[in-house]
Amino acid sequence: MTAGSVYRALWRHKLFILVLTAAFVAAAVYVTVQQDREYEAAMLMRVQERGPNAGNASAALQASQDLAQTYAKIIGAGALKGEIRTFVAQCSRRRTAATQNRPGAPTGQSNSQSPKNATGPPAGSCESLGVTGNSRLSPRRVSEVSLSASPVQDLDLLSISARSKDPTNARIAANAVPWALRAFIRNTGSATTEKIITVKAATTPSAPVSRHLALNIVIAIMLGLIFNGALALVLELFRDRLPEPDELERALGHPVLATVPSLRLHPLPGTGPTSEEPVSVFAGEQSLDEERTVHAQEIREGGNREA
Amino acid sequence: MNPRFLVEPDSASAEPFRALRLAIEARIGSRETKGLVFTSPDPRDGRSTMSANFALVAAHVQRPVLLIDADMRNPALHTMLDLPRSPGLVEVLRDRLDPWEVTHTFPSLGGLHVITAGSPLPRPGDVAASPAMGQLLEKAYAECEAVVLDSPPVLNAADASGLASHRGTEVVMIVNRSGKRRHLISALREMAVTEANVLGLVVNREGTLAADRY
Repeated sequence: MTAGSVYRALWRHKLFILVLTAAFVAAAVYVTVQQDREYEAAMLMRVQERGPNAGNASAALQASQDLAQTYAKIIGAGALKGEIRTFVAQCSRRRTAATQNRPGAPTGQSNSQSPKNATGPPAGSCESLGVTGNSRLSPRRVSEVSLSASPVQDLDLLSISARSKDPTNARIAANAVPWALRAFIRNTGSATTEKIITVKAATTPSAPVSRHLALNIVIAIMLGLIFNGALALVLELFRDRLPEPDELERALGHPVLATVPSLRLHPLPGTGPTSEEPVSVFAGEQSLDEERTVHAQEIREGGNREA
Repeated sequence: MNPRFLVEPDSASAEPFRALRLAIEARIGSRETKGLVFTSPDPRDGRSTMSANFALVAAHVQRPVLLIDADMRNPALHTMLDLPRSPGLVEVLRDRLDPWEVTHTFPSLGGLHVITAGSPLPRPGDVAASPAMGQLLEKAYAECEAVVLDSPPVLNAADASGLASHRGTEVVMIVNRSGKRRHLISALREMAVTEANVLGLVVNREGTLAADRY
């Protein structure tokens, strides 16, 4: 299939491609509109290296930036979900204990589920993050929250964002990240020479994030054109279609004498209903019976006339 | 006359037929071919329209031109030209009439002569290759510059092959642009098997008339 024939095939199927692409766009709009709204809560935290470079500000900043990049990858990979789940679980237990007013309720100093995690959420952290009261974020629902992180360029800051269908959950999960990151570092046995500080806590988002309707439409148009164009070419391959006139001679071995377009046939002057009748030598009165038929065999044998 | 099927000879619509006439003339060269069998692989490919308009355009240049409706199964020329179906070709063959007795002549169409199909026949397939048809064509070739035969589609009847078996007769294959490739291949194979000489193909309904505004 040459480039020219591909172009012609696509042009022939232009309506097919356009209609199906429009269907793609309609489906993209429908799916986007039907999607649950997501809320995004963002917080900012500082990662400070307190190791041997503490005396050298530039080296310390570089080390902190490297750490921030590493942590961003860890957060982006979803490695903190276990710690956040633990955080929420401990806060939930505190809330239950507080509700039952039992003395000796967990205060975050012990964690039976995670022996390595010797330290739970600091006192008051659950309340400050809003895990208590009517919070809807249960440990089971942590998996519904998606976390992402990106280092702030040239600074030792890390921007954390948490997305959830519930704005409160998004805020809780975002604010739990520093504690979860510290717990992760402890659980993996890494040296804890760095300091993780919340610079700006996340607030409950008031509006859902954009549904990216325009982006989805653009993607649907591009995918639709590519997919439907390919489909049109596949259909063309399996279609028993005549080659183009310029390829007919090569394909079939007979020359194309002419191509006749769809004609615009005009009334012929002098041949319309008022025109002269065709001149016929035959006089209509001759005694030929139109109903009479003759066997072809008679014609083959010389056209013997019936008696 | 029903004017819907014929081109205005001075209009741009006639140009493709002029080009076809010149191409056929060039292809024939020095051969003594006078009979052109217009056929196609399938019905409704435009054989009758093509043959009638080709004959019309040719009649303005080559005189005399005889157009014969050799499709005795499903004739169309008599409807197109608003003529009685019979007497026509069948009567000439069956009753040994002089062809000119059943010929209609149109002075306003360049003196085009037309023989319609005639009465229905029970087995028209045997007629096309018959000696009587051969004699008719010989006579027509002797008296006309060109004889255009509108024949049934190749894949429906062997008439085109039968007509092309006569001396001085060649085939013009009409190809509908939206037709099927395998049908055309089958039709050409059938022509090859019967040793009919196919002058070439005419692609019908290929785009729109570009020269309309010239």
